[in-house]
Amino acid sequence: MTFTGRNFRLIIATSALALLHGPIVGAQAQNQATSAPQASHTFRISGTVVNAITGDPLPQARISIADTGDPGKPTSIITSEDGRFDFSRVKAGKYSLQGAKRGFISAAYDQHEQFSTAIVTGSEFPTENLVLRLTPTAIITGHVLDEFGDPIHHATVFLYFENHTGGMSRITRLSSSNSDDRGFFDLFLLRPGTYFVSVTAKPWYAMHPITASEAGSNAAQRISPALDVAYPTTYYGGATEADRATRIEVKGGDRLQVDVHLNPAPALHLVFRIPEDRPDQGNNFSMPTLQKHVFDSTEPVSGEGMRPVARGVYELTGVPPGRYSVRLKNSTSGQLEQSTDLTLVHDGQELSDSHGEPLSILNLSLKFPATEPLPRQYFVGLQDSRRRMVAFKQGDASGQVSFEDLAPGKYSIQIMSQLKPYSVVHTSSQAADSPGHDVNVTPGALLDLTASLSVGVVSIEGVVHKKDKPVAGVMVALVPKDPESHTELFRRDQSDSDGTFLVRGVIPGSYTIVAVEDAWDFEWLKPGVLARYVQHGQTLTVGELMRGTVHLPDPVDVQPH
Amino acid sequence: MIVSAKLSLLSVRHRPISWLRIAPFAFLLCSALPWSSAQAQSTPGDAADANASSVHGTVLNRLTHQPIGRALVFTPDQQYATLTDDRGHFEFKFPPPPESDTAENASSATNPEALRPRQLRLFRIAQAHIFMARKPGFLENAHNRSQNTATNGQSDFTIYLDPESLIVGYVHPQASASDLRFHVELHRREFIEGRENWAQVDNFRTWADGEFRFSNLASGTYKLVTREQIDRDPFTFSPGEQLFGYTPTFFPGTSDFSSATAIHLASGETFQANISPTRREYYPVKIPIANSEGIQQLLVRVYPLGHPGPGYSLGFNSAEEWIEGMLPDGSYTLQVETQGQPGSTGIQNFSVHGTALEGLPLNLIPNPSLAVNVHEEFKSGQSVFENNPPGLQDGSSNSASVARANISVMLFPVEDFGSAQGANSQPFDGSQQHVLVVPNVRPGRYRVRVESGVGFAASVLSGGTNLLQEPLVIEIGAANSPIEVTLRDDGAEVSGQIEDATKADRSSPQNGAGYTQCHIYFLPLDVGSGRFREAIAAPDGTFSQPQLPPGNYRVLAFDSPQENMSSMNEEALRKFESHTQVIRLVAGQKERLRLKVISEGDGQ
Repeated sequence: MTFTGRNFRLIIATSALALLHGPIVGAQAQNQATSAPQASHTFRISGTVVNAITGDPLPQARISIADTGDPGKPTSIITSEDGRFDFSRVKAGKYSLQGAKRGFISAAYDQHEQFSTAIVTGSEFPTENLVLRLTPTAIITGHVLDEFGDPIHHATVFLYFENHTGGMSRITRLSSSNSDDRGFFDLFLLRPGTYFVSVTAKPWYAMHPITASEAGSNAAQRISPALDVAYPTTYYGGATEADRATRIEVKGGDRLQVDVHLNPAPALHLVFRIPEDRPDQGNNFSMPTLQKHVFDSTEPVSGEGMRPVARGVYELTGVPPGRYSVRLKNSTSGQLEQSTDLTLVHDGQELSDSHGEPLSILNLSLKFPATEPLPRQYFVGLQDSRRRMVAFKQGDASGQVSFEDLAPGKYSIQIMSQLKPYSVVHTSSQAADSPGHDVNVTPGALLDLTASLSVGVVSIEGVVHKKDKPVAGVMVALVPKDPESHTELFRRDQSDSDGTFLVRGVIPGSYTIVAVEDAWDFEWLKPGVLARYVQHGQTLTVGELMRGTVHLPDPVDVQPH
Repeated sequence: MIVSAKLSLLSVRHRPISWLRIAPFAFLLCSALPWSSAQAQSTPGDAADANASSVHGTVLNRLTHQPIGRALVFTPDQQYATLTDDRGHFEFKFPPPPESDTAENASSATNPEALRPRQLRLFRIAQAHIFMARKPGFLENAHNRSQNTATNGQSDFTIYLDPESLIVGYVHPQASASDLRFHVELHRREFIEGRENWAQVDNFRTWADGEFRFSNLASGTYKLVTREQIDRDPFTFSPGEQLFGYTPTFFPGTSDFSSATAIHLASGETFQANISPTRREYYPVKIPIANSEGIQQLLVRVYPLGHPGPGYSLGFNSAEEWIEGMLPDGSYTLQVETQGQPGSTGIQNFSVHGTALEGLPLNLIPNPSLAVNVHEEFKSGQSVFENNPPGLQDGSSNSASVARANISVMLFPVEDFGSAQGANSQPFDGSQQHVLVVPNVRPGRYRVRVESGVGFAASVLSGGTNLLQEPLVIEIGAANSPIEVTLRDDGAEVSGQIEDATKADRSSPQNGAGYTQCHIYFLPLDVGSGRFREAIAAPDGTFSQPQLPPGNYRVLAFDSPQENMSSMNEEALRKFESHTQVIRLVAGQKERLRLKVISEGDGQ
């Protein structure tokens, strides 16, 4: 079952105009949550909550069950001293089971990412002696120290997490902390996984005089180079670039001590000249901005700011040497340019020389399906090949969305709406028509594009079998054609205790449904990974006019990971 | 010293310009720079010039007088910087002065009209030659007073750094709450216009183990409070059931600001303070705003009835147009304010009794503007009202019609955490020249102070209330009488000499010939007689305070600024009796005094 997200009752299709192919012989509307009511009997959901690391039972944990058809009305109890919980007099149905305790990560039964196994009562499947595992939270503490081993106050400590959800690994910033007067920091309530820690700080004694003053007041000659220094962003382990950062493996309940030592580097004095033919436009000219690639993101770099040193000439001080990404405006067109990656190591290096490709403009006109009312609120995003959302705008009733200052490249257009999933199935411009959601943005282009959308209103339910018996806790994936480039069409679920699953919001198209054992936390979105499972899955096509829930007549057989 | 130099410069616009007010500034230039200050403004050449001057000095711990090694000494413009050696010594070499401009510096600046542009320029020069120091473990410069003490005619500096003070401790809630991080607020007692005032100066989100640390604190008086916090321990936290929260707790364990213990923190001291917030039942609170249409942001304050202070909070839901949040049982005052001008304010009292509360709609009422009628009873024939006065031209041709007033009526809130907010008068744009307006006055109680460029405020009245003695009360939604200000210019003038003006900063082991800036305080002896005044002595120890309102005064001179002088009680003043002179001043009187200076340690 899907653990997160609002549950909504499906509209049962009264005239399911099924256009099905493959093994599906008929569409059957069914509400999973209220199957086979046995009102006269009550049942029991019981078990023990344990520490996932030590196996010790956990007293005083709050355990809740909620009918998956009515998740807004949970019933909760507190575990006894031996970690036991017991919900007696439970009606027949399908229930989510969740546990929470201070110092532990709240979790549902057999939870993986946002999926878990729901407990089905009133059938032959076990609902007692369940074991709900809660993982204790971890904490990273440490000190930020300077080159003399003295504490650094007011250092900013960033925590990055390697996220494996959604079938690919991405390292993103999770949280931050500021060191106190002892250089101490902590990062707490962490779940197990791989982390990275970086620190930014300014030496307390640093002075960054400008060097290139026309006034001749050359303070740099009077101030010792030992003071004109900066701390490069430093990762735990001493690296100053993210790609060489030391991994910090955190297990549940860990209390790790992570000290970061900062060493000063001579601060750079970078020069930016406003082009000579437009020296009077200094006020309108946007200064170049420095960014750094940090794992899978780009982060702004804060410096001392640009200071004017002569007419049309600015100096940026206090920047430690390193690899940067520089964003500039084109000197003739005034258009923003794509960031250019530069290695900045020399004093007096000119930022003006770092021209990249000009940025582009994309005007999108969205065509929503006529059969569905327009969503009240929706967002449009452009995703790059690493599934980074590089641009994001809220849409309105007009369906017109414009992206300016867009770096050239290939993007997929993503539509996000809370109630129903949408997908771009076709794009057209004056130049070309093409199927799919991709758009190729060329340097300096002004692109007008119409994007036709499809909406996902079909649900597919079925049962997972292993050796002819239903099996719980298995990842079920509805794989679209060309899966790597159509991640928004993917649908997943985890089989419940009776082996059943339900995937919602399926966009019309052709799919293969697969069930894979122990498939959580692996990079199934890597090209080629899914291919071997797909060839043993069930294929199906969801037609444009289908509505409601489709029941798969044949069980989906589990494939080993 | 640096701070006071800036203040005196910035305050010139509305205040009478006098030699005394720029005295600290001039001191910086005259005594800090052995060469001509004007020369230092010019472009320095090669630092290794044979005629180069040098400045050297020592950085010392003010408490222990021990030298501080590896301290950074620098000028604010980042033109000069160096680290001290192991003995706390530093040295700067300067290029030689050009020949021009020396006479200007030597001339006394007694002509107020010529002073302003000159001040601005001198200020820029001084920027380059104010020496500041910093080092972790010592106060940042902004907190440092009397940083540099120069010797007469010598380029030898002693810079004192005050060791930082700390307040550290743990928040351990009465029920176990290991995952909870509390926000601890630090409030410091400050003196505005010589009156006690509490201001939040810092806050700390506790570490995972409940620890908090406030460092880099100046000596002074502080109070601590933990902000309220909803307890989300799954053991008790279950949506739809009774919710619990930790109520604001003031160190060491009281529930309101006024009864909290004041922590008197000495320089270099570390104070340990632990707080144990109490857990109580919390209930949802919802109070509709009757007229908040179109308003996106509101400033919302809530505090226990009759006990204004920090800790509790409610928020504004602009979509639903109500104030909402959670509170424990009790009676509260809710204050809601719109931002900007003209603003409006709503105030409501309500009680929470063991269940969710939906209060009565709250009305936002526009803040009033107060009219100020100024009556000039000047013998000199001067006026505080003039159009585009010379010396204050801003260069724009269309400013000729803008009325300017060399008078300011200032409102200071009496209570620390109430709805009142400081407000200032503005000249009234129109034909009625002798009228000022104080716009956007929030409800509350205010002390009223009148600063006049000519003479002094002999009376300040509002609807029969003497605002020189009683606070001005602005009721929400009520009509307000104008403020009637009568100015006179027949005040007394007290001038004189500080005895032993060259009495050095005696704590300095470096020399006995330094100059310490003296602050002279005029304290009214009886309520309603006289007005608190502060003057600063010139380097030669002379001082002058014109236009003192008639009355009886105690006069004292100190070698450093005394922030709480005006609120000092009889007992505290008795310590200084031998250094105190009592004078009775009548209109037009000229009095000369010789004052003994009181140094740190006197009267202990």
